[in-house]
Amino acid sequence: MDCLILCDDIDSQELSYELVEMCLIHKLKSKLVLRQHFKSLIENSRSLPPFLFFNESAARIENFASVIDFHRKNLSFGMIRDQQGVPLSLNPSQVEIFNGEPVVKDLSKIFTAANASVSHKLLPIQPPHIFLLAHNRPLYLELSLNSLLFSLQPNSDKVPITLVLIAPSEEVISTALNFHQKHSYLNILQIAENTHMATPIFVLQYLENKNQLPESFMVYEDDFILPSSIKNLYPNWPWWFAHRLKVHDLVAWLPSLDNCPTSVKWYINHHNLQITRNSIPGSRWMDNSTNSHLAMSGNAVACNTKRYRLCAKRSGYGYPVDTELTSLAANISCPTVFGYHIGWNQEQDGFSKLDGRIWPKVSKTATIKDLIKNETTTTNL
Amino acid sequence: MRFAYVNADPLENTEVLADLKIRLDASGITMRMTDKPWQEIYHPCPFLYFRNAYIRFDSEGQVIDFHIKNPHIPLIQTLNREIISVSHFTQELNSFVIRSTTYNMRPSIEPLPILLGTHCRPAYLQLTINSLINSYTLDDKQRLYIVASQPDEESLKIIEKTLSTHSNVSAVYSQENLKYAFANFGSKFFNLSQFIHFEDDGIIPDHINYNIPFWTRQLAYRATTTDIVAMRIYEGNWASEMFTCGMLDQKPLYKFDDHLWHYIKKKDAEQRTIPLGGLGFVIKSETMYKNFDPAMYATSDSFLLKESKSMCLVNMPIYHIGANQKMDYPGYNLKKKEAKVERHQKGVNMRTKEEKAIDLAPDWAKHALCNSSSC
Repeated sequence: MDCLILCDDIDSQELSYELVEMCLIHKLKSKLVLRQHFKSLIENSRSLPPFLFFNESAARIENFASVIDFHRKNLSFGMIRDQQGVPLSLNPSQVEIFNGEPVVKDLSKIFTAANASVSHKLLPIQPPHIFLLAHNRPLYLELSLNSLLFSLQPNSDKVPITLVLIAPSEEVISTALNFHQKHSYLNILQIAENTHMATPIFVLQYLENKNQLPESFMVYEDDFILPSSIKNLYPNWPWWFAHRLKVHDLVAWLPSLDNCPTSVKWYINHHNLQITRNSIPGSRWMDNSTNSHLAMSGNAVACNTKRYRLCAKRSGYGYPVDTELTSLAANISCPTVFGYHIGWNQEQDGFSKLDGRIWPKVSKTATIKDLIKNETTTTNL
Repeated sequence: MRFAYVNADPLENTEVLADLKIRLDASGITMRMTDKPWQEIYHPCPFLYFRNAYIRFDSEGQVIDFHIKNPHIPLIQTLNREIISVSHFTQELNSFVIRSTTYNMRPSIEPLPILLGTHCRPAYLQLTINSLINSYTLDDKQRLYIVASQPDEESLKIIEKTLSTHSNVSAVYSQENLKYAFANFGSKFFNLSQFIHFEDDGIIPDHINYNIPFWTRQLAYRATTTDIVAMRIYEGNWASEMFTCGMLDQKPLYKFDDHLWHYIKKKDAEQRTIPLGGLGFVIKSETMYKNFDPAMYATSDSFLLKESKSMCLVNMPIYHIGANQKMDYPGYNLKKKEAKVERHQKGVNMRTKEEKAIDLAPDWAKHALCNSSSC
């Protein structure tokens, strides 16, 4: 084995086969291994010479032939890594696997290569169109957008993102426009009426009227902060979300439950809900096959447009509520890293109370203004 | 026989337990301690349940008598949705709601003041202050002290507004960036012999009042039971390097179970990565502020860990939003990179306008002695 390529259970064959072929051109033999089998593979490969390490099928190593050549001539090194600390090649006799990551304990056995680095190839699929919904919490919007855009680097401009301002406050409009100044690829739509949970349905209709209906989209709320580690642990995640939507009904970031408010804590205690989120050790994804209470809170949920519209039709409100979404979602896939649902703090931050859930009636018509193009249209459901 | 199960750990405040026992004894109810939730307590007849030892409600005797006569009712709860009596006679989860609410006993131990340092991350400061103020709404004796260390205009406005709306908040303005010495400075400026250390980037979850009522008094009590008391810092937003650098391989992350209070011996703590830091850390000034590095005039929490024999970790995850600063305030760390500060500093009390000079060098004990004898 000359190259080890870690794969997920639902991986991209296009990318992994391309990588295998690229290595073969340099007469290097690859091995594809599920991420959860990585540890046992290393334990059973102690006697092998160093090999190139691709942390995922999308990873591409610049000058990889030189890297493996150098490492095999310098067997005292346990790991060669790039200047960002990303492993490029491993010597199995000196590597331990911890939490799915290769670790060399003796730092003097790590060589940092100046002329090689890892990049991540984009999957040949259209990422979901992200609708970031905001209403009247400008500070939350700012923090959520900072984290979203950071997580998408260096390809944030390749993901369609629309900030949807629903009957917004002046501060929210100003925050959105400030972001647009720095990130001109962001679209901004302002809906005059408070369309509540029906907003995605209106935006889909608006886009369809412009012949821009996406195949999949993501409802992303303005109160959800992704950790900075996402950029490294889930590079180009929207493309992987779209990929997973080929086999899953919903793909979503989950919030940590550590700050869930008293009312939710009470509900969990009262019903003795088993909210532990199981995942396969080593895997970066989990699903609802072993956990019916995956605690979907709908902060950042991707789904296919067709399915979402079916949920809307099924619902008595004309738009999907949580129960509609989960009723038509037999399988749900989620990363094992959680975001922070700062919206659960909204009462202490001076916004409205969280108690009670209302599903208001929403008009069938909305006035939607494109704040960048300064165009206003009326959208009918 | 009538029983009440009280969920409490062995080092719970004895005053609070004794108070509850006296109340229950007076109604002829036997108090039993447990560390289990009500779902896991098997008792042949209905029993009262106290989720923690601070919860109080009136007419305990009447409630349990009613429940024993009506064992088919699975749960009795109050208007504020506190489950106070349980019957495992049925598997149903319906509740009978009584027209009453529970309240929390206020222990007599004084609340520890909170000392918060800030520089120029206004968004984080606002969220931190909001959560702190929300966390002590039960306690009118709570004090919050803010050290505004060369703040930017926006941070200053937030502090001024907080001062104008909350009389229990004090603040000192320093023209210099005090960096890591802010707590040494603040403890001397406000003369705080013991306090809860906080920075401007920690958000306390709103359920703290539900899970740890009068939390600053509870921390004050716990500080009498062990060398160190510290709240847990949420680990989920650590930078990816924390997971890939191998540190957690050598010292695996300490895993909290469902219990609130975790007592750990020093030798066990040394085997683990403990998620604690400058947020919700109880400081005894005399122990902490001495033998300063003359360049920084600050002591890190590792100094305290070295000197301690045991610690109490509170499983109340504070969201360290400062771990996100490369997303929200890129470059902020550069301002602290050079941690050196001048020995002699000045501060202005933003409420009284009183100006004081503070010498950062002396040990805190010496400072206190000088302060009392006006030397």
